[in-house]
Amino acid sequence: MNRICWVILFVSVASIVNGQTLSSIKLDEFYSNSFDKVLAEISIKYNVKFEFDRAKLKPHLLSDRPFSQPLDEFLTRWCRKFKLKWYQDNMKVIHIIGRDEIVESLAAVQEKKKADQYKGGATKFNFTLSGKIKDGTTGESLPGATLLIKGTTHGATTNTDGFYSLHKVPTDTSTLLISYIGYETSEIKLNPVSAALDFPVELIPASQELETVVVLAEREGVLQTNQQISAIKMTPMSLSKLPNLGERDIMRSFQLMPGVSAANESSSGLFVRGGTPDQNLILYDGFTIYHVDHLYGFYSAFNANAIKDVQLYKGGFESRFGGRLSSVMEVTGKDGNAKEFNMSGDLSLLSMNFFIEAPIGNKITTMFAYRRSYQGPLYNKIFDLYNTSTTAQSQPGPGGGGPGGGGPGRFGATSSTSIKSYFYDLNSKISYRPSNKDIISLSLFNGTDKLDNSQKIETPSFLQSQGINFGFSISDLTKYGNIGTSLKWSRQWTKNVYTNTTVSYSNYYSDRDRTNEANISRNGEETTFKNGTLENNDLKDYSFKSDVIYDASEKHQFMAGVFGTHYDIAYTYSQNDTATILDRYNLGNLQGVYLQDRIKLFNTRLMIVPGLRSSQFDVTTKWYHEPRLSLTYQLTEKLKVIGASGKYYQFANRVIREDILSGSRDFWILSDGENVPVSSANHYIAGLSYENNDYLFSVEAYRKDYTGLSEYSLRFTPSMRTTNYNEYFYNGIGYSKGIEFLAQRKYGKFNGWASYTLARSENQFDIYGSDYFPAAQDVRNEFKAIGIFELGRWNLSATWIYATGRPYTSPEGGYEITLLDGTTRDYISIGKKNGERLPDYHRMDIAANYKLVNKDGNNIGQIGLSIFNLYNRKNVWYKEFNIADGGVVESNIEYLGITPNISLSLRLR
Amino acid sequence: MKITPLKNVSLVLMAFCLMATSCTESLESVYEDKPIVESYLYVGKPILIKITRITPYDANAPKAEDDINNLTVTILEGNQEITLQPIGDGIYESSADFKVQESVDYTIQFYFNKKEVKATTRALTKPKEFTQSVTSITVTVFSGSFTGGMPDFPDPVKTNWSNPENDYYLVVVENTEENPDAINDFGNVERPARLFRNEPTQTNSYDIRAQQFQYYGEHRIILFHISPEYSSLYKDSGTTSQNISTPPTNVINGLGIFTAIHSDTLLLTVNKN
Repeated sequence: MNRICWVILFVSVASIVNGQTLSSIKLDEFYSNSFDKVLAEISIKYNVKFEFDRAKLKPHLLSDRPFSQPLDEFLTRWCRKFKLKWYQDNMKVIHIIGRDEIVESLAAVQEKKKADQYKGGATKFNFTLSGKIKDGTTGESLPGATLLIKGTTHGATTNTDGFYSLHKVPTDTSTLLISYIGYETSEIKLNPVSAALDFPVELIPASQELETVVVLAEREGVLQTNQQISAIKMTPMSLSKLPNLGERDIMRSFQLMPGVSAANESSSGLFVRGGTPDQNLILYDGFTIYHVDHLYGFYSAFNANAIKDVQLYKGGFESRFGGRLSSVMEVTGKDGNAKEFNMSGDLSLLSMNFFIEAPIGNKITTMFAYRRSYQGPLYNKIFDLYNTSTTAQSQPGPGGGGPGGGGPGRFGATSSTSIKSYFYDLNSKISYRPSNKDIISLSLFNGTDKLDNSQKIETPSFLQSQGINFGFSISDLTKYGNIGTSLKWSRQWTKNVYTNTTVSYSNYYSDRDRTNEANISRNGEETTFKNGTLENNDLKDYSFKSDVIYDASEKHQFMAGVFGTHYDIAYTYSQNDTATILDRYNLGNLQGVYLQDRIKLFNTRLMIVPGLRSSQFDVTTKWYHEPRLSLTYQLTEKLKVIGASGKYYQFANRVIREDILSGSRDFWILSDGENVPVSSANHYIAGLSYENNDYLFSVEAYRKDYTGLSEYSLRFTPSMRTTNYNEYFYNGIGYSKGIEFLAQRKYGKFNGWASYTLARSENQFDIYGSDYFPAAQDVRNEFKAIGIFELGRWNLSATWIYATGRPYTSPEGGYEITLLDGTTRDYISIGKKNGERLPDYHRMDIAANYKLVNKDGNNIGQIGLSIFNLYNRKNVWYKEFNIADGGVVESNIEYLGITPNISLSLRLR
Repeated sequence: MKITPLKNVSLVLMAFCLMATSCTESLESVYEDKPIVESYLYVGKPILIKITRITPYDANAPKAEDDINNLTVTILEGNQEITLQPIGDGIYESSADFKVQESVDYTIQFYFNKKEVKATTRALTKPKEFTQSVTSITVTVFSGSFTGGMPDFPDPVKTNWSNPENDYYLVVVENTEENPDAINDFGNVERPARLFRNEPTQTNSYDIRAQQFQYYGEHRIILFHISPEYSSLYKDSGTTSQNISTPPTNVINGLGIFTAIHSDTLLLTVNKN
């Protein structure tokens, strides 16, 4: 047997029904004998049953005098010394086995007993096995878990509800390997009895390990990358191992993966393979999320406590996804513990997090999570980073002058800034299982930010007593959020047919108020002067989709579906609350169908997935066809080749204004086919990977060609009659290409990965000329290394990110023009678009987490310390230009420096 | 045995990183010398334009060979072509008897740095029905003593004009006295400018508040009928690498403004209390 066990399971000791716990048995005498005889003595005295191979224990001599030492501690100590380990099964029997032996899970132990009793041969051959894979402690279904026939590459994966269907199982005494990231891999031997029924499997989460059992030789890693083409899978529970900036953050953790740009502190959206965040489709329980930033992009709107599974498809994704050019992130929320009530709370320097889950009866599970920030030092530090850099800038437009009399300051007026800024998230779900085959669930998501940097200047009291009141307030209020809800019905009709229907509503709104208001009241008469800008974006998405998966045979799995979305997008931009500059209202309907087939050939070594997705967009009244093709070929058991290609269209675009001074950071608009065209991309991906028990090495190359890109600019055009704002969408084309290398150590006390990406991303817009220029998100080299070290209850991790600088445009000269009113004004002439590079970005983060364990030995939480940007590198965010005396002074505005964070999380179970 | 593959991989990765980072691209921002055109075509007056160059921040930037005072500048008025005469300092003018006409298209054209620099504008109509609510206002000083009771701000001067097509207008208020009396005591602070203006607007009215006046005496209220390209000059062209953008210009292969304007003037007196 391989010395290095890469599969280890053990049984939770917590399930004690009656009788004494091991820790309540206190040993208090002198023992000196061979190990087997000592155990026999203990067995008689304390009425404990042991099971072991006498021959293994006999050679070991035990000589000890414990003083009221609990039995479990005693066993742990001595087993460790003798290179053995122990576990207790649910019949209370204590087993002693060699340290390197495989231990099966609780369910498997019972099965094993039954199977062991079954000494006969197989009765069925080449049959289909189906069932559900669940978490052993909470009953949550596990989507995307894999089953594999031991010793072959033949397997299946579970769907979003945890159902699987495995065809052509060789015999009903075959052995299955079942795995899911974050959980102990389970090895189960079938027998005719179990294989005939719906075969449910329960996996035990890796974090349920106990202190009292011998330290595991191997642990599960954090990310799983090699199951599907260009896909990365992660479970939030493994995120707690990574360093964080105040919060366990899914988006930030994805930024540590190859292919996703990490040098981004001001956006939590994902820049995947040279694409922009709006080209990434984010689905949460079936509905689309349009905005994922909290607090200027430092955090994402995903509460890790409420999420079960996240899958990121970096490119070449299947036909069941569409509407975005670059990538898809599929988030599955937790259903709620089906077995018992649980609650947990998290506290960090940034936010408080509360989570509760409970089953109601046998058929209903519920889950509720709430997270809210509070204005502590960490929130303020980030808030100030974004707002001190804005106060230096000018307020909107030179007006006709403020209130007269020399300004408030001369009269000792007070200025107060009452900052009431916060963000909160609310996630909840209720699932109803009317029968074994159906699941109906209602999911709710709400992520909201309120950022308030307003100031108020009040009248000094001595003026107030004269009946004069003037107030001058500068509003700088941003409120935005995303509310989504979905109602889903999924049904496993037969072993082969599964349907999933979702009706959803998603609303993104953003209000930005940057106005100055001055009011003067005397003798009760009030005059108000208001000027500034008001911006509002409101997007409503009503969607319906229905998918059907038909497992025709072990060679074909068909997937088809219909979908439809109604878009309602409004955007207004007004100045001085009277003059509306922009007032756009778009309605659009997108509907379509898709069909794909997962074909397995050559004994499942080759898998080809051709597909076609066709949509009709009523704004342009055209049909858009998106053919897709992907293939994976298992050259040897360890070596795999992948390739994918497809066409992708996008109908709703997010315009990003990096400059937070001039308005809201982004807004959504619908393509209209003329000024904002429907954009498209062609993907070409090829890769090779080598994976053995411990390691994974992969190389993946990609190329994406885009057309119909839009760039936005709010300026005036030289048009005579009307200021036609639609002309400010400049259209162009672009491409991004790159090659990603990944080396990952998947399991072990020390695991982690290192990745390197060499990439290029360029655009060409006619307005700037016929040459290609680097896109704003172009990063040439990016290297990331992540290491996680687990030592007993401690978990230490470190990440290091290095990326070459992003491009920017710099001014190259100045000139002045005399205006009509006689004043002269300075202007700058800018150089080649994105012709310069910011300095390289690099930072290191570390974290130390300590697992908290209750008296039963259960893991009930953790306390952690995290340091972001350990060596306080001053990474440049953007540059500021000041024109003075015919020269330009460049100053760097930097990202966050060293930021420590402490977090505490506790849960009931 | 376990360690070697990892070590190998690290070595390979490091080699790649070295290779990749050593191939840094040499990005040379090629400086392109461009002319700045500054020209306001007043209807009823001859053409006067000013051409200057950019002052590059990098002193070693290559400059074009053209002499700013020796360019061949032509103006196209409909079908007619007029050549402007240089009078030094980059200023070119038409002959004194040439007058810009209303509602006619004008195009300027010359060569600089081997490129054709061109701009077009249409001479605008005179502002119509420009009226003011009062011809004089009395301004009280807001003294610091507060013993005299509340300051009495007079009603603002309301100006109106006809703007059915939502064109751009700009109001400039200018003091015409030779040595005007200041309303407020500025002490040692530099005295403010004699004129002030509003932001280019597409509306048809503008209220001049009493507090905006800095001096007593005779004032001129000038209403300019301007083109969109002029009003865009008032917009910020950005000061950070995030928002920096090409300054708005209607000059092809150049920078600056070539625009026609028309105006109307009213008079206003500001009296002491």
